[in-house]
Amino acid sequence: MTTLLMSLLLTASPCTRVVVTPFEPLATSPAAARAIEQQVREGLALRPGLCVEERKVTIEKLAKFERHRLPPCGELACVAAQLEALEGDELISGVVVGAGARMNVDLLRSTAARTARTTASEAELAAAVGVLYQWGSTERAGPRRWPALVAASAAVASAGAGLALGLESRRHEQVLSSGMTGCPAGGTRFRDCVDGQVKTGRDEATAANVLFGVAGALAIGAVVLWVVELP
Amino acid sequence: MLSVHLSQGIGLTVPEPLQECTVETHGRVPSVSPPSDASAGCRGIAGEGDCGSSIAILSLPVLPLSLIVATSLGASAPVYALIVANNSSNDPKLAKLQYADDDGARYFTVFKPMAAQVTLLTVLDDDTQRRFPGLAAQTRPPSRRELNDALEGINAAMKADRAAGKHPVFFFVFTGHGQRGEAGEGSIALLGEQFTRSELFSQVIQPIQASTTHLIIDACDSYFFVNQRGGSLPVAAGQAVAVAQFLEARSLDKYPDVGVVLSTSSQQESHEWAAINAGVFSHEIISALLGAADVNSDGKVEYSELRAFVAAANQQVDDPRGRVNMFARPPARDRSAALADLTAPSSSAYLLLPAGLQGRHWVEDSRGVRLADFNKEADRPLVLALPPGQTFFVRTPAREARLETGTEGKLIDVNQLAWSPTGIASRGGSLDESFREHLFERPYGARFYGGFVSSSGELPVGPAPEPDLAP
Repeated sequence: MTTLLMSLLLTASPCTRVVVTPFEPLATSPAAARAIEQQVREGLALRPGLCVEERKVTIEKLAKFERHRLPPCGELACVAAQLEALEGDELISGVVVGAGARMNVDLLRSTAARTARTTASEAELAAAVGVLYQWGSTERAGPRRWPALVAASAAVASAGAGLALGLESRRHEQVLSSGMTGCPAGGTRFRDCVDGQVKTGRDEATAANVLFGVAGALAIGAVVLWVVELP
Repeated sequence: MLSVHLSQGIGLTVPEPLQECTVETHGRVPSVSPPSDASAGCRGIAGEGDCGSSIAILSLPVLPLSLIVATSLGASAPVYALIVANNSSNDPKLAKLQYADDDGARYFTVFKPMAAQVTLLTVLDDDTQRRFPGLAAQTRPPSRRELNDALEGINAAMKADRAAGKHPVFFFVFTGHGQRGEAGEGSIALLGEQFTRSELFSQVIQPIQASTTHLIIDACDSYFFVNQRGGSLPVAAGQAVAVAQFLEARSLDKYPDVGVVLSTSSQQESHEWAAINAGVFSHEIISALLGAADVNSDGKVEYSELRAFVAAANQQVDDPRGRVNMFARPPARDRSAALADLTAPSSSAYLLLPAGLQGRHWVEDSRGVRLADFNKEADRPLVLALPPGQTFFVRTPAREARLETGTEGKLIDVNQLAWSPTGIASRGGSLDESFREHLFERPYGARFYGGFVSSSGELPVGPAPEPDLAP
């Protein structure tokens, strides 16, 4: 069930596909450039709506280019062609500059429609990623469905749990009605046993009702989110 | 071993290798041009000629060596720079230079952010004091006494560094007049007296406490001097011979930690250019050392990169008076020693020119002091070191952009600047036009460098660092 839901989420949520090309070292080592690249990748991964392509996959795709490098683009049409070749919505590239015994990075975000650049020191990387995304991910492949789908899934889960508890409560009720409680006969112990079963049944019924309520609220939320994201 | 496109040779006009001396020249320099204001632009040590023995002084005429930045600026390799810039001459036949003091000031500006100690011995003229406000107070006169005091102080500091396990790097930069004495020994002009080649070795090179020393000498022989003695001598060859003789006579081989960069231009008029208020050769050297010559993106400028950069800068200059040639020899102990090391600690700011950007650019400050010129190939990014806290303009023949270098260590992407069209007024005569049109006309990058080293036999720089492609 969980796997089914996850699969549904992944296939139905068209997040922005971000391709991060290996960062270029300038006046520094390839290892230092990669370390900065990794920090940028982690910063990107924290942003909602972005699906950052695995490095290994990107490098495999870059094999079709000379020296595994994308040629510099002067025009957006060039960027669009590269995005198509890499099956991405956005490109993030960087030059890591180790001048002055400090580490700085020059970041470029390219989409088929526009580009954004910023420079930052190593300590400013998180903020730099934010600067790159000041104008949002407008190049998404489609509307953002995943919030609605998450809400719907939670509603289904709540309803399912409520149903299970409701059925259990119903079973208790039937047992008590039939008199086949299994409680020891006579006296205080019998009364306490029956009272306990009654309480358990009521608690289950209450929990089931709460879960049905939550499921209903989530279902309404899912519908709202879905509608809001309609193109 | 540059991994990139090295094979495409390009016809280079490379500084002529030292040649056998066949003609007596006097020195350095060349010339054939009218004496008129010739001396006005000359820098050099004049040698008189014999190529055989004597000669020239530092014989190296015009050369600038600025190795600035250098090699090691780090805490483990502190840099010391002693810059001597002298417009005046001790020979009444030689006219006063106009821009030797400007060159000294620019060397100072370049070394300042990266050196542990920079000493400038000069007397700035009125124009230069206006172009470099506040600098005059930091200078001392280019006299023998001040030179000795400066050397003493620098040696004491470097000795302490060595005792602490460090490897100090020393730059000795001279811009000004050179001359050949009666005994045939070359000398450079200090204030009121000459400083001879013998003194250079005995008082500077031999006692220096540096682990590595770079000599940059931008001086030329006097046109008048050469012409009087030899008539229309084949000066270029004589110049080369003079340099060779100088080096041989004093056996630089005995000092394997010393590298030299010298200009060997054939004519004085080529040495200074009013449009940039600087000596052309020193301007090229400074441009290279700021990072423009770093062809393999390792942040270091080695001697072969410097030579290739200067060769590219001058290749298209068609006016023979404007040709600037250079002799450079790295320290024998480490032929890959860097003249400039941008990776070392520095208070500089940095201008990034990303891959894809190409063409001729120059950087000057708001007072018109031109700091760097270059013509970039598109294949690799380039980073230039600039003094922090200043306003600069990046210009091309068609557009310009203003930039604030801000705090030290700041990185500025030239593609983030706001560009606007610009117009550059033309002025000057044919030589000025030749410089304006053709200096730095040839793009410099991995392709040019590959051709250069393959034709010159230079020890090439290592391969450019590539991105890590491990998954």
